[in-house]
Amino acid sequence: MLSSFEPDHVERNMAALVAAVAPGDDEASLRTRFHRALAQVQRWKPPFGTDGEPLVDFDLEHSEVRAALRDILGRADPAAVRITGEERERRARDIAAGAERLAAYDPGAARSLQLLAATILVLRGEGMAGGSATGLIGTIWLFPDDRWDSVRFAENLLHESVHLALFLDEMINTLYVVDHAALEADDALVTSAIRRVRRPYDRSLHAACVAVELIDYHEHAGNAEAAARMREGVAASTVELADKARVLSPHGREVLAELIERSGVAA
Amino acid sequence: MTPSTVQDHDHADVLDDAPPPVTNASQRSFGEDAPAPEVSANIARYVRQHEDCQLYALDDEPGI
Repeated sequence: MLSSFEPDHVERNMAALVAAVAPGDDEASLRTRFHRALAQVQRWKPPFGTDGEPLVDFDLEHSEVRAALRDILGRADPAAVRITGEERERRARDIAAGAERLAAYDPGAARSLQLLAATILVLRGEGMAGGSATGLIGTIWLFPDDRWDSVRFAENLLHESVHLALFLDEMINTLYVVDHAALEADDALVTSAIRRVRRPYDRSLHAACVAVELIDYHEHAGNAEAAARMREGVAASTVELADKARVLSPHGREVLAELIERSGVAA
Repeated sequence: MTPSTVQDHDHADVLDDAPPPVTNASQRSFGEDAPAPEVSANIARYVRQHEDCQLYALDDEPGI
């Protein structure tokens, strides 16, 4: 597992945010204090459950992230993506089964998901399976359909929780020495390990980190073809990431060094 | 991104004065759980850079 995604590292980053933003309040759990601290620094304040587990949320009407999603999803009517009725119960069971499967695969990954995700927003959608966003650490959303089995739910929960861990790592430790505009400049574009198109450096660093985690997951799930595809994508992308490492902070270079080690490419 | 239905304020302000000053020995021990100054600066930088909330979308295709 990449260091940024290890639960101990995640907890250190969570504690650092709490210490910087909201020291005190020592009665609450670190997870609760962390999400309270996030609510102080982020524009949107997703709800989070009080039982230490991510809140599975279907109700856009009452979600603090509705306005963000309206822009992100490009939908004028957020109600069009709401899941209603019996399907809510079914999807809640699906999410639980996916989280269980993730825990059976790797308890550390499940722990990081549990720490980082305040809200799992489950919606009806086409053309997109899920997502997360830089200014919404703590929130992931999924657009499941009936083709998804527990292997796929677990895969997508793993995928999104790696993004959340990297967002937090960037927030606390800084991954880049240039601003976002420079990461999007043509000379900083890198072929994504997943989409296989040139994307901004930060997007491709994320993709490589997600793909590295998915290699092991797919192998564990018996999906050798998907694992091989990820491995090939990570190797090619990591070479490009290393070529443009000038944009990385010292901590960003540590993340890259792990990618190089895991992908087996020459530094 | 400009939300119309959520309260909007400058969240980076929360960190502008961080780390909090320690004014006497009875207060929280600096270095025990107080933030390193660079951490507060990193957080403020991240918040400012990501106010526009960039989406990381997961495509609707297995393994993508």
